[in-house]
Amino acid sequence: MSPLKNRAMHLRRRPGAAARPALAVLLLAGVLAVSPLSAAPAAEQEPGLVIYAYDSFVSEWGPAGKVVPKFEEATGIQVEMVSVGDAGQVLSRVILERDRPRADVAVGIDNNLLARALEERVFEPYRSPNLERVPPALRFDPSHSVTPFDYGYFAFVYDSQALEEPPGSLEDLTRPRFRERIIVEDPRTSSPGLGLLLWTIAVYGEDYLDYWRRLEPNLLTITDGWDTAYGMFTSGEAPLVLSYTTSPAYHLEYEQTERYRALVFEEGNYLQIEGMGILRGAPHPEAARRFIDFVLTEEFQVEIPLTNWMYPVLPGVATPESFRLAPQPKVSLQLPAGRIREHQERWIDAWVRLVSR
Amino acid sequence: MSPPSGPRGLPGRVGALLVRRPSANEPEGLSLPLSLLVLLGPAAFLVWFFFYPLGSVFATGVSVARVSRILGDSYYRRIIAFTIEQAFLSTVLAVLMGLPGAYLLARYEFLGKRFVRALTTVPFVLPSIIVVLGFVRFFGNNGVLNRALMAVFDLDEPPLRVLYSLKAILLAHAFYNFPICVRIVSAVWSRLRPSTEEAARSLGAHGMRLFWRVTLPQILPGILSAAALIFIFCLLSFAVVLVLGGGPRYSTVEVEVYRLAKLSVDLQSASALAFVGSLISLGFLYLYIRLQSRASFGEELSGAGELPRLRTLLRRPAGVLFLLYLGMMTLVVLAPMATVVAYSFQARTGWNLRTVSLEWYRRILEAGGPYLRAVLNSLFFAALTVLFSLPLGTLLAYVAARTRMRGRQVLEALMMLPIGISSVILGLGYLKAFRSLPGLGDRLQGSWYAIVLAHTVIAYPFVIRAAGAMFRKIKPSLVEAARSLGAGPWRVFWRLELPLARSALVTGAAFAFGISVGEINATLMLYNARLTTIPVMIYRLIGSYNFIGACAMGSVLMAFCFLAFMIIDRAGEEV
Repeated sequence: MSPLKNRAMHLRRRPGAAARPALAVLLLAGVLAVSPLSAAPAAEQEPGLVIYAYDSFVSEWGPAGKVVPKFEEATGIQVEMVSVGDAGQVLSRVILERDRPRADVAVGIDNNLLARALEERVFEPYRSPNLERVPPALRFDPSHSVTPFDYGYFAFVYDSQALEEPPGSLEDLTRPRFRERIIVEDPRTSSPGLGLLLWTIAVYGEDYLDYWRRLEPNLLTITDGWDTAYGMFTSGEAPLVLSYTTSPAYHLEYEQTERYRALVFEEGNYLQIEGMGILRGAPHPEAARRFIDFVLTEEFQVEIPLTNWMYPVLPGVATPESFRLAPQPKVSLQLPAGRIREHQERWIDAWVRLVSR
Repeated sequence: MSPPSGPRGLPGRVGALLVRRPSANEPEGLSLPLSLLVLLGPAAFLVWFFFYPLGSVFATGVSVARVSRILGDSYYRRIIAFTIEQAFLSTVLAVLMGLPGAYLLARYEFLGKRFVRALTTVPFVLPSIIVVLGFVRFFGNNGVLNRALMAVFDLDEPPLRVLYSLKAILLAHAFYNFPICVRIVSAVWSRLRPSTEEAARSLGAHGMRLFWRVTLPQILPGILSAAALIFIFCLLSFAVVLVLGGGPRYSTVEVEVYRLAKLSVDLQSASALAFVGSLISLGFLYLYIRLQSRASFGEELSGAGELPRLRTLLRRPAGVLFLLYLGMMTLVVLAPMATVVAYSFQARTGWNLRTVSLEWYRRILEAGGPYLRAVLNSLFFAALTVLFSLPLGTLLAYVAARTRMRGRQVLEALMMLPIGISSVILGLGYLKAFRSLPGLGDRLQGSWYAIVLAHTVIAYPFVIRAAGAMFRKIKPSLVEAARSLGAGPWRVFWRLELPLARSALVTGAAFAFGISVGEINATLMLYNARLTTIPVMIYRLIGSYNFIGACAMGSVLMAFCFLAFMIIDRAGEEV
C-alpha cells in the first residue's frame, strides 16, 4: 500500500478528528471562567476626577491607596486613578492626549521634566492657597503650572557589612579601592541615573566628563533602571549603589536592619522635587483644583514618607521613626530647569560617547 | 574515498529527494482571488490594530531630515552595528544550544518528556529583570557559583568573571531564546519520515555525514524559522544587554528609543529612530524569508511513530556528549531559574538573617488578594491571546505558503513585523491612534480586550513561523493525491494539512501563551489599575523594594507557564 493511500485511510478511520478541536476550545472556555470580566464591576460609576500617575504611586504600596479614599470621603468626588508606567510616560501620555485630555491631573512631573512640561504647555496654571505653607525653596515652578508635593535627595547607599570605610564625597568615589564596587544607573533610561549626571554637572560644571573618566574604572555596571541596580546591590554584587537618602529607612521599617546606610557627600546631594499639575482642557477642573488643595494638607502629606519614600513638602509634618536613617544632606544641589532643558541632550550624548568608548 | 554518484553527493532516491526544485516545491497554489478573500479578515485586523497605530506614531516624527541625521551620526551607526552584531552572535549560540535538545525531544522517548519540554520553554516567558537577578545571583561575583568555588578552592577573589562582558550578554540571550529553537526544530524533526534516513544509512551514510547531507537539509526550514525569531528578539533586547554587558559600552537601538520616548519625552526623534530600527528588522525578515523559501522543499511528513528509548543513547559513545549537554543545560538554564526560586523563599529580618519563609506564597495565594487577581488576569489574557493568534497565524502562514504572487515575500516580512517593533513604540501607537477615535478610543483604553488585541498582535508571528515551517514541508503530491481522491481544498486543509502541522501549532500556541504572559510594555500603556498582570505586579514589587516578593511572583509565573505548556501539549495531542 502506498504511503499516500495509507494516510488517506488513516484520515478516514478518524471521522471524529474534526470535532476534537472542540475539546481545546472547551479547555480555553474553562480559563475564561476566571476572567476579569466575572470580577469587573458591572457598571462603573462615572468618575468625578481622573488622575494619571506613575505606577509606584498607584500600586498597592503607593500613596494612592491611602490618600484617595481620604479625598473621596472628604469631598464626595469619585476618583479614577490611572497608572501610566513611569514619570516620563505620564508626561508623554498627556502630551499625546493634549487635544482631548481624558485626565484632569497628572502626577510625577519632577524638576528634570518640568522645563519640558512647561514648553509643551499642557498644564493650566493654578496657585493653591495652601502653597503659602510650602517653603519657597521647594516651590519649583514660578508659573504654578506644576505644584510640588514631595521631595528627596539622590544618594549613594552602601552595605556596611561589606564596606568599612565608606566614601565621603563624589571625589572619594574615584579612589582605586572602590574599583568595580559601584553600581549606577544609565541617565538615558532611568531618572536616578539622570539625577547623578546632573549632580556631577552641578558639582564639576563642564568638567563633569573628566570626573566620569576617573569614576569609570570603579563602576561594576551601569544598569537600565533603579530596580535592577538596587536588586544587584542587595544581592551583594557590589557594596555601593546610586539610590535615595531614604532607602535605608525602608530596610529599617520593614526588615529591622540598619545594615544599609545612605551617604551625604561633601559636595552636596542632588535634589529631586516631584509635582503634579492640572491639564489644560481637563474635564473636571473644579475637582482637580480641590485635589491640588488637598495634596497640600497634612492628611495627604503624612502618608508620603512610608508610601513614596520621599519627604513631605509641608514643614512640620512628622516623618516616621525609621526616617532617622535618612540623613539630611549638607548641601542641596539643583540645576535650573531651563539650563537642563537647553543642554540635557548634549550632556547625555557626551556622557554616552565617553563611557561607551 | 571517491565521491559518490548522484546529485549533492548521495546516490539514488535519497539524492533525488534533496534536489531543489523550486518550481515543484509548492503544492498547487491557492488561486489569487481565494487567498485574497481568506486574507481579508486578518488583513483588516492587522491594519486596524498594528499598521494604523504604528503609522500614526511614525507620522508624528519620521522625516527624511531626521532619519538621515540618525544615519549620519557615527554614534548611532556604531549602536546599529553593535545591535546587529550581538543579535547575530546570540542567535548562533542559542541555535547551537537548542539543536541537541530538539534532537533528543524529536528522536527519543523518555519518561517525563512532556515535563522536560514544558520546563525548557519556561525561560522564554521570564521578565528581563528576573533573568538578570537569576544570572547575578548565580553567576555574579557574589553569586552561588563563585561562592561555592571560593569555598572549595579556598580563594579570596571570585574566580569566574562571567558577567559584565559580551559573554554574559550572549549567555543570557541563549538562555532566553534557546526554547524557540528546541520547540520549532523538534516539531519539524519529529515529523520527518524515518525511512529517508534509513535509506541513506543503508546506502552508507553515517554519523555527521548523515546529519549534514540528509537530516540538516530537511530540518533547515525549522532552524531558519527559529533563528529569525531569535535574531529579531535579540535585536530588540536591552535590559540584558545593558546590565549584563556592564554598561553603555554595549547599547542597542532599543536603549536609545527608550531614552527618547520616556526620559527626554522627544516622541518625534523616538519615532524616527524606531522607524530606522523597524526598517532593519524588516530587512532581515525579508532576507530570512528569501533564504527559507530557497531552503524549503516539500516532502512526505509522517505522524509520530515509535521512538527509541533515551536509555539506548546512553549505551552508545554519543552518550557522553548527551551527559555533557545535560550538564551544560543544568548550569546555564536550570541554575539561574532555581536561584530565583530559592531566593523567593527567603525573608530578610534583622541585620542579615535570612530564614526560609513561605510568607510571600501565602500572600500571593490569598483568595481575593491582588496577587491572585494578577495571576488570574494573566492566565485570562494569555488564553484569549492563544485563541485569537492561533487561527490568525495559521491562516496567514497557510496563505503565505500556498499562494504564488509577486511581492509575496515582502508581504510575508510585513506580516512578521509586529515582533520586530519596539513595544514602547507600539504602546504609544495604540494611545495615539485610539485617542483620535472619539467614543471608541475611550472605551478601548484600559479595557481587557485592548490588552488581548495588543498581545495577539505581538504573539501571532510566532504561530506564523512555527506553522509556516511545517506547511512548506508538506509534499505537493500528498495534497494532490487527496484532491484527486475527491477532497475539496477546505477538506484537504482540515483533514490533511492541519493535522500534519499539529505539532507546529502546539509550539505556536505555547509561544503565544508565553508572549502574552511575559509582556509588559504594551500592557503598561494600556491597562488600568484593575487589570494588573503578573509582570506588572513584579515591576511594582521591585519598585517598592520587594525583591523577594518579585522573585516569588516570578516563581509563580514560571509554575503557571510550566503547567500551561503541559496542558497545551496535551490538548495539542488530543486535537
